[in-house]
Amino acid sequence: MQIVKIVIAIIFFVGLQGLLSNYVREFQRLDITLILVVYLSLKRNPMQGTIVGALAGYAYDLLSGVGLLGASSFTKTLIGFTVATFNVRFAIDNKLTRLIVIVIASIVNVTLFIGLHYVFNSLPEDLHLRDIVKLTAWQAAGNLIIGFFLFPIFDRIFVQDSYSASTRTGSW
Amino acid sequence: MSVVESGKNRAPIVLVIFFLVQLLSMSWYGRTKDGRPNLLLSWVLTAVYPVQKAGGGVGSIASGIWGGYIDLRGAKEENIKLRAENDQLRQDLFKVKEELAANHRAANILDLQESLPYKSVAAKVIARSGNEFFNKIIIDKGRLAGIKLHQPVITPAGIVGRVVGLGPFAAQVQLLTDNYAGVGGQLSESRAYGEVKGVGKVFCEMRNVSGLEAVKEGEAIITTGLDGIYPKGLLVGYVQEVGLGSGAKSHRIVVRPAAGLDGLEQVLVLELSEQDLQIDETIK
Repeated sequence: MQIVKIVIAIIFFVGLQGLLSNYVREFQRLDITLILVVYLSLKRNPMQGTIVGALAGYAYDLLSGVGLLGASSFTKTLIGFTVATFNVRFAIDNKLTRLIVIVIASIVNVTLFIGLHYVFNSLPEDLHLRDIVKLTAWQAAGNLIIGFFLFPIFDRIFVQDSYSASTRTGSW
Repeated sequence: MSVVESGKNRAPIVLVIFFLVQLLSMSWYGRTKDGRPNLLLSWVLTAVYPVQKAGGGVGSIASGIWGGYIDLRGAKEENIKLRAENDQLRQDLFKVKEELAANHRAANILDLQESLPYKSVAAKVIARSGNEFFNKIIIDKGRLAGIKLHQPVITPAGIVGRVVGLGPFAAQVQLLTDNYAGVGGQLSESRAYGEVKGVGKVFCEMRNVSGLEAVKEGEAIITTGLDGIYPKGLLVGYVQEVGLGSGAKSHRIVVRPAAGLDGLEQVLVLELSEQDLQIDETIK
């Protein structure tokens, strides 16, 4: 059941990102799929974090038509794995620290995404450093605000702890 | 060893496998820069279609309320009763205006559809790229409506872009302003040819126009029909700014797309045949 919820959530949030961006252009600077990835990675299950990051990232890449297919998937996989692994050792999933995690994840997300495009020579031609800094600031602040409201909703939706669920079912 | 322990041990291996797949995917795409894995894209487009199609209605209402709020920002000092009445009236007016505008847009699209010498499919824009550096939209018609890859997309104002991804119910359209978009363009007065190229921003650039050609700001640019995608004579945009070239250097021409790409709501996908795009042998 938990896996079905996660798959539906990924589809919903990737679709929602495009839908909201069509009406409010500022949503193009945020990454609400990342909020979901971070939340699901904070379940002390590195396997879940890795797979959710990879799938959500790949869906985002395809639907957003980014310049480098797999860039967002790479970024979100790394974030998912790292957050989950950190959470196993340092318990960073309380209400305050998970907001800090969102900010750090957003900064890493933009930096790595742009970095990969730079390495593969796929950046838009007229892109300046100030555009990247602005995008990073927007994404960190926007994701923090949206995460603040979304995390309690996620707490209700994913009420069954995926850590214990995976323990019982042996999945992920 | 518990399942979680073994899961923890397997996670780095899965991570490495994903990284390899992603790096291969990026390398392949970085080299080709053309087309997407259409089967995967088709699945994703189909999966998110219900969310984006259903959300479109809610989005329009929310957008209307937001617009109403913006209109009313300056009314703080009025008394509460008047403000409430004013609010209601403005909302009603806004709704009427929106309905009129929607009817007008639909009529424009229908007029254009009837006047074109090609068959076409009218579609609504239901989503936009979730990343500001890449300019793509998703429309609510796909393979089942007869749309095919690389078909041109236009509005009554001018060309919008071309279809680059297809699902059964939805299609992904690359806008003219996308970093990887390009169209053969011709200046309407000097008749000089060039290439209109997206740069990932609001404006495009027209390149390879000789510095010896006379180019005026505001001059219209039309399609040449030589790129094998867009038929000849469609409006691309207008010259916004000219960085004058010389005998040895091309002009640097900034182009404002004629179709308002920021507020697209309805578009037409042209169903062109091979004959429609046939290039005159003398030009070849």
